[in-house]
Formats: sequence, structure tokens, C-alpha cells
Amino acid sequence: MPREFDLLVVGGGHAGCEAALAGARMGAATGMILLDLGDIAWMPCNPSIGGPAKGHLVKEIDALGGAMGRAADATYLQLRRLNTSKGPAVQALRAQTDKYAYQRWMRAAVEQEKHLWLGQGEVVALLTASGRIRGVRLRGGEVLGARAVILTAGTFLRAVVHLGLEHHAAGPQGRSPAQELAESLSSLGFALRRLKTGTPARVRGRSLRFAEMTPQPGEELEQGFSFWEPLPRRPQTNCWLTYTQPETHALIRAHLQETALFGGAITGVGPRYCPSIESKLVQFPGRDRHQVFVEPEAAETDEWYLAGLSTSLPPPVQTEVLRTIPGLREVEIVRPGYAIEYDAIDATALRPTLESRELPGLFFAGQINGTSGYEEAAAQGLMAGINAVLSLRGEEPLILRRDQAYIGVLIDELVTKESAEPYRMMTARAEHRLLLRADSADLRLAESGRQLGLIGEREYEAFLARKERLAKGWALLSRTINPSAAVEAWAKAHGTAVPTHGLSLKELLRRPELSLPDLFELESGFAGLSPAEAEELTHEVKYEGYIQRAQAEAERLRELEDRRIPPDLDFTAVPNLSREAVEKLTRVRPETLGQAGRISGLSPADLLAILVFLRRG
Amino acid sequence: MIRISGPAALDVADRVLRLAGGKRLAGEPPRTVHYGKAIAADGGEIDEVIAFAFHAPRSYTREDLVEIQAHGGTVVLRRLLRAVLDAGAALAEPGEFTERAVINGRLTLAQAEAVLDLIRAKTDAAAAAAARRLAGAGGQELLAVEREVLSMLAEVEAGLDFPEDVSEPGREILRHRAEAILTELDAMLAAGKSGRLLTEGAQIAIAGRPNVGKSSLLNALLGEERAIVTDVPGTTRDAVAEEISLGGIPVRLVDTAGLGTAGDELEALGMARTRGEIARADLVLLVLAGDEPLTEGDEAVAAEAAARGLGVIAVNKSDLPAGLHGVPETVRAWPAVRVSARTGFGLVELKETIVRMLGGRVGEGTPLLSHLRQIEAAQLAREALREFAAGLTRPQPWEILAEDLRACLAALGRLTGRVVGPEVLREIFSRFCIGK
Repeated sequence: MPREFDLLVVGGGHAGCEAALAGARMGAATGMILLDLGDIAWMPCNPSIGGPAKGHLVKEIDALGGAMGRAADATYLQLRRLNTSKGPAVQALRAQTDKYAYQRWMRAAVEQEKHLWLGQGEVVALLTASGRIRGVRLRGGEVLGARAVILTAGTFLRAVVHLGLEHHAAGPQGRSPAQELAESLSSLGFALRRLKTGTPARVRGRSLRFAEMTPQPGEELEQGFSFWEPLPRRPQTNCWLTYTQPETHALIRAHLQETALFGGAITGVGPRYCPSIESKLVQFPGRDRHQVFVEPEAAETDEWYLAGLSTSLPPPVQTEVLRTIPGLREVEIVRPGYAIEYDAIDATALRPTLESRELPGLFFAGQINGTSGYEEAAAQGLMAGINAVLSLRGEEPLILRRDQAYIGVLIDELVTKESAEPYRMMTARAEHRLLLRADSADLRLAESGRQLGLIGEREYEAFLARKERLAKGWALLSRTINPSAAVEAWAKAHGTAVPTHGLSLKELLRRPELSLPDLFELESGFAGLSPAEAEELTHEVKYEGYIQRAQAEAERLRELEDRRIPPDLDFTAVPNLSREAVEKLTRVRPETLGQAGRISGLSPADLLAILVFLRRG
Repeated sequence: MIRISGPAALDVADRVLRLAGGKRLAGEPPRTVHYGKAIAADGGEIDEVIAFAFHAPRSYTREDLVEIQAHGGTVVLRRLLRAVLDAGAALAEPGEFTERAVINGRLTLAQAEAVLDLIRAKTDAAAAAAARRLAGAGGQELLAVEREVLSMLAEVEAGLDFPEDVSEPGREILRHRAEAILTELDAMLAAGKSGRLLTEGAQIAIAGRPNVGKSSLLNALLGEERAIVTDVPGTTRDAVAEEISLGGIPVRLVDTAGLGTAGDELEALGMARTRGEIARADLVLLVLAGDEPLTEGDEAVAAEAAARGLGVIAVNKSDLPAGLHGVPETVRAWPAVRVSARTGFGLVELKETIVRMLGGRVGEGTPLLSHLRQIEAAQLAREALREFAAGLTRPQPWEILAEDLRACLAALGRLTGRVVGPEVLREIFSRFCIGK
């Protein structure tokens, strides 16, 4: 009798963990199977979480009841707030985490989850019945039955590691690749494409000369990624900054033909935002130096990561190259850098729930969908887990809008636009950026998280109280302040013009030189607000015009977003559509008119043609 | 006819209309006809109009809808459109009315399909026109402006998304770059104004003190008797307007009451209107009597007209013995043509001079921005860029500055037909070295 699950998650990385935890917490009988139990929530690249857009994703995951934010808060080695002077919507938290502590935290979370079964094994085939996913077969013949399966195979599908011009079949850091699973996908009709990424060398800390580098200290912060847990105080470790030298560049150039990338060994497409050092030299020949961040990997090891030096040079050359860099003159490599090629699916074959259109019940999340980054993977894992359970229950899916969450932008673009390179989240991709502040993620998403059962009673109470405080604070802002001696003294003390007539607190707060804490003396009711909430209200007031404009724009577009296109619509039957439009629409199969509008090459006239046609039915 | 649709349609219409009896369209029952005047944003009167209001959902678009009909030709309609836009309306995209009608469930399929065919033809033609325009010299300038804005946006966005790899752009340098583009946009818009005169028509005010023969000249230009002409000074109490084609340019000639010393109350009213007409005109045709020396009245009218900037002087009654010596100092730079409204002498030369003056600012080649829609898009781009430049010094945070540049690019995209989303990313990655 095979083991039976409602939901089976294949893979235990950042997508897999969120998917499995969400499924189990929503009450589905969930299983998680991975190649090596020791690799749960592993970070094969640098142990950094967050930053612009990525940090926003983490806060959104947390607001929906996901795990990544809490894990990062519990295990950070260093925290920094980025973009603090550039505006509230682009401010972002970035953490260097302890990669082993992070894995232990997540493994404990997974193991403690009541409805979650955990096992080690290699999935070699996907099993189907009556056009639906039915389960998987493991190496050794065991079968796991499941009504829904989420594949989070990361970079393991037919993975090949390149060390210089040599290459061999292997996953990240030499792990076993997944060969047969890729073949099983192909035989089920999934088109696979080849992508590439890479990682720098890891070096031994005692071989580094820190005195030759610039320290990059962390910051003491009040709040981490999680809305639900206070940020624990942890000792912070410095990162270090150094730069490549002309000798470094000369040496790399001399060995360029020995790299996998320029020696012709690699066919996969690499990401533009994560180029190897050899690509940087070729692309920016005029730059005389590139920065290198030397980052600790974990408190318990002496292994350090060299951010900025991803490479596929032959390992002996790597040591030589690193030793031209200040601080690294005597460096010892413990793991060489390498490039890795792997298979990913074309995510336009997926619905916005991340479920396959062709094989119902089969979901995909993470790097297998052609994204890069732990945060992007976790966000998809969470949404795939949520939607798999909702679909098993026969309930409406949770599809986040582009004006609601970065997660909405991410998944919309994944399933709509064909991307040649691994997809990374950036704030530049969000047209409603001002509405998507990291600090407002709970206000945007916690209600959904609560309805799904992913936000607990205690957390929800705290959320409601926070909302209440914000609403009260907002109401207080309309109070009028009339001129008086006390107000005059206050104005002088805060370096702002003395009000000559009655002004609302809101009008005062609009003055660039003032922020909400400055108004505490005028209105004691603000005193109950946390610093974060005071900041929240300050932004709301100062940006009111911009926010309203952005909201109006989002509202205007919603008409299109809400207009659904039936999944079985035959686009060839729609009059007035160009052949190109028919071809693209048939491949991407947009579910709404809004999504159709984002397919490149479709014109407003095409949209109108669909709209008119839909009215006939 | 101008059509305004949407929840604010009645309010917008009421901002433009002065209905008889001080009524407001918003307060009147739907589907009733109202007579009144349309007023431009500067307070000047545009024309007499008839307005109908249809209340949601009983309208073409199922939204509140107002139709304003004017009896003038294209020139008046364009001005009316301008006034409606100034009052807060936005130009409909091609097919937007139909789209709204379909979305709101008003149109039957057959109707919608018919409309759709029209839109497709129209947008395809518009796209072809845009492509032709962009291929020209002016198009290259526009594309250069777009590239420059894109490059600035990429710099700002790269700093926002990769704060550890890309340093903050220099505010002062960006401001200089923005101002250079603003100068270019200003020049395009200035040329665009002349371009608009060519495609959308010009308004010419015929001005002069009483009894210099303004009405006769208007009639001579029209080729038929229209305005009442007598020898009694001040016979023309009201502006009389006629539309003709001068060298292919649709021209609306407005005969104004003589600007002199107001004899009675009625005449004073007429003169106030005359000043308005002069202020609204694209060109002033100043009429002097060739058989009499300059009077104080001539000087006063000339001073009024000179403020308009663009003008032509017609020295009328040149068939009579010459009595005029020189023209008023204030309009000395304007070309003067000797004509006789009575005999027709000099009329051809006068027409040519007017055309030359109207088109004279167009310069070589086809103007880039010749339609109101294009001008509006360029103005939006300019406004956004001005915000950006001002925000750089205020100083606004980078995320707001990025919003301004995004708005600017979106507006330019309406001129160039390009979507900029992926281009920004390409620009970021090609110019900035980013990544681990």
C-alpha cells in the first residue's frame, strides 16, 4: 500500500520548505521528499537574505504566514537597512545569515509541523492518472501517492558543474543531480530550457588579512523581517570590502579562454545581474577595479564568501587571481568557484497559481521556473503551497495583484513573459512601487494570511491592534491646531514656521522639516504609536498625493485585471486578432485581460477584440 | 461635437459652459437641450454652444455623458476641446469610448464590431503616421530625448535596486541634463504650436479703430457680403466670425468692434469682447485707414494688438489719396500691405503675407507635434520632467524622482509608440556593473 498524501513537495530548498509548511499548516496531509535531508533550506550561494525588492518579498512572505522572515531574524550575523535616504518604498532590510543556523532553524520548523511527513529520496518519475498528477516514483521503486505535487527542483535538473573547461554531472557544490526527473518532465511534454548561474570561491578566514580591507559593520535595528516576533539581539559580525586590481584583471584576461563561459563549454543563459568576474571584465573593459565583499558564512566555521567574484576559472588559476587582491594575498581556497548549468521549465506553461495548465495537480515553484534567488523561490513556494491546497478543496485561488504585492508582480511576470535569463526581483519591475512598501506588507496581506489559517490567533490580534492604532493616529491628524503661545514655542523649538492661523496636524506634518514624533507635544494621543507606526503615518501624509495617484492608476487598471478570459477560449475564433497575437495568446494563455495586456507585442486593439468577443459568449 | 464621458463629465462641462439663466448642467434634468456659451480657461468666450447631458447608465458609455455642439468649424471645435481639457478632462484614447461602452455593457456586439473595424483602421493609420514622423529629422530629436530620459531613469533605478553596487547619481548633473531636455521639449512644443496652426487652424482677429473698414476687409477676404457695412462708425457691435481657407490653412476671421472711445454702454461691451478676441487670436490683422493720418485711436488699438506678438498691418483704402504717414511705433516690426477692400487691390498679397506669418514659425520640414494629442503628450512629458528637475533641488527622495521620470517616459512613449519597461532593465544592466 503506497503512502498517500494530499500534497507532496519534491525538494526541500527555500521554495520547498515554504510550500510544505504552508500546505501542512492549512491542514493538508503533506509530504516533503528531498535528495538529502541535510540540505533543507540550504544556501549554496551566499547566506544573504533581503535587499531591495528581495527584502520586500521576505516581508510579504512573512505577512502571509510564511517562514523565511522568522528564520532570517533568528539566525542573522549582520543586519543593514539599505536605501534609507531614498524614500520609504525602496527602503529594504538585508541580512547576512548564519547558513548552518538557518538550516537548523528551518529543519526544526519542518520537523515540528504536525501534518508534515519528511523523507529522503530521489524522485525519478512523475505518475499520472486520467490526465492528472497522481504521485511520484522514487529510486528503488517506492511510490508516493499524492493528489497534488509541487516540484521545487532548484538547479538540480540535469545539472552540470563547470570547473574551468572541465565539467561533470553534478548539482550545487557537487551534490547529485536529478537526471531522470528531467526526463520524466520531458516525456510529459514540458519544454525544458538551459540556464546558467555560478558562485565564487569560499576561502578560509585565517588566511585573510582583514587589516587591508574596509570593515562593513551591521546596524542595531528595532525590527527585523518578521511582523510577528520581536527581533532577537544577536552579536553582529563585520563584512569586509576590498577591490580587484589591474593585476587581477590582467591575470583573468590571460586565462579567459580557460573559463567555461568564454572557452565555449557553456550554452545556458546566465543572469545579467549576477555576472561572473570574467563577464564583468569583458562587459566593462574600462573599469579599473571591481568591489569584493568578503562575508562570513556561519559563526561555527571559518569559511568566508567572496561576493563579486563568481567565476568559472580553473581552480588553480582562481587562487592565483585572488592573491592579487588586497586582504587576499595569502588566501587559501576551501571550495573553488564554479559555474552550473541546469534545466528549467518555461513558466508561461503555468497558471498564475503556478499549476501546470496541461497537467492539473502539478505545481512548480522556485528556480525550476527560471528565477534566481532564495527569496523569489520562497515566495513561489508559499503561493504554490497555498494554491495547491485551495485547489484540492475546490476553493478560489489566491492570486495577488501587481498593485498588492511584489509576489503578485513576480508570478504575473513569470507566467506571462518569456524570459531568457534567470529572473530576479527588482523594484524597477513594480509599476506601483509606491504602494508596495516593505513595512506595509502586513497591511496588504495579513488578512489573506489569516483567512488561509497561516496567521495564528495571537499574531492576528496584534495585527488588528496595530491597524487600530494606525487608524486612530490617522483620525487624530485632522485635529486643528490654533495659534497660541505654546504652539509658537513648539514651532520655534522644531525649527518650523509659526502657524498664524488654524492648521490641521496633517497640514503641519506635510512640512518637509517635520515628522510625526515632532507632533507628540501637540497631541498626546500619538504617544501610543510604535516608532515604525509613526514612520508609517508620516509617509502616508507626506506621500498622500503620490499614493492617491498611484491608487487611482491601479484602480483604473483593475477593470482589465478583473475581466477573466475562459481557459478554453479558442483565440483563432476571435475576429480581428492578428496572427502574431493569436500565436502568443495561445502559448501564454492569459487568465485575465490585464495579463493579456502585458504580453509583449499585443496592442490595445487586440485586447478590445478579445473583449468584444467575450461579450458574445 | 465634443463628448465628455465619466463620473466627472457634468462637472467638467459646467466649468466650461455658461448656460443661459445661470443654470448648471448638473442641476438640469437629463436629455434636455441647453443653450449657452463656452468659455476658455483664460475666461475668453469661445463660441455659442448647445449642450445635452445623459445620465448614467442611460448613455452611450453607460457613464455620465455630455455632448457639446458648437456651430463653428474645426477652429472653434479645437478651442472647445482645449477648454474641456483645461477643465480637467483627458483626451480619449482611440476606441476608448467604445471600450467603455462595451465594458459597461452598453454596446451590442454587432455595433462594437463595426466600431472596432474603424478603430483598427484608425490606429493602424496612426501607427504608420507615427513611424513616418519618427523617421524624419524631428523624430530623431524626439527619440534622442526619450533615450536621454531613459538613461537618467536607468541611473536612478540602478541606484535604488543595487545600492551596494551603484553610487547615488549626482543631483546637480541630473538637473543640468533634465534642463537640457526641457529646452528641447520647449522648442518642439513651440514648433508644435505652429504645426498645430497648420493642421488645426488659426484664429485671426481683425482689429482697428472704428471706420477704418474692418468689415469691408473681412467681406473682401470672404469674397461675399457678410458683415453689416455702413459708413456710420461703430456699426459692428459684435465680433462676427467667418471661416475661410488661406493657402490651405483653415482660418477663422473674427471681425471685432472698433476699439475707440466707447460712445455708449453697448459699444463698451463690444470693445471688451474685442480685447478678448485679440488676446485669443493666433494673429492680429491690424487695419489702418490709408487716407487719413494716424489717430490716437489707431495708436491705442495698435498697442492692444502688439501685445499679441504676431500680426500683419493692412493699410486699407489705398485706392483713395494717401494721407497716412508711417505706422504706430508699437507694431513697427509687422509687415504692412497696402490694400483696398473696395477694389480688391492688394488682397492677394495680404493673404500671402498672413500665410507666411502663420507658417513662418514652422521652420523647415514637417513639425513633429502637429495634433492636440501629441502636444498634450509632450506637455505631460515636460511637466513630469519639470517636477523631476525641481525635485532634484528640493530635495525629493529618489523613489519620487523615479516616479517623475517614469511618468515622463510614459508620456513620451505615446509619441514614439514604444513601451519602456524592459528597456530600462536593459539600460541598467548594460551600464552598471552589478552583482555578486
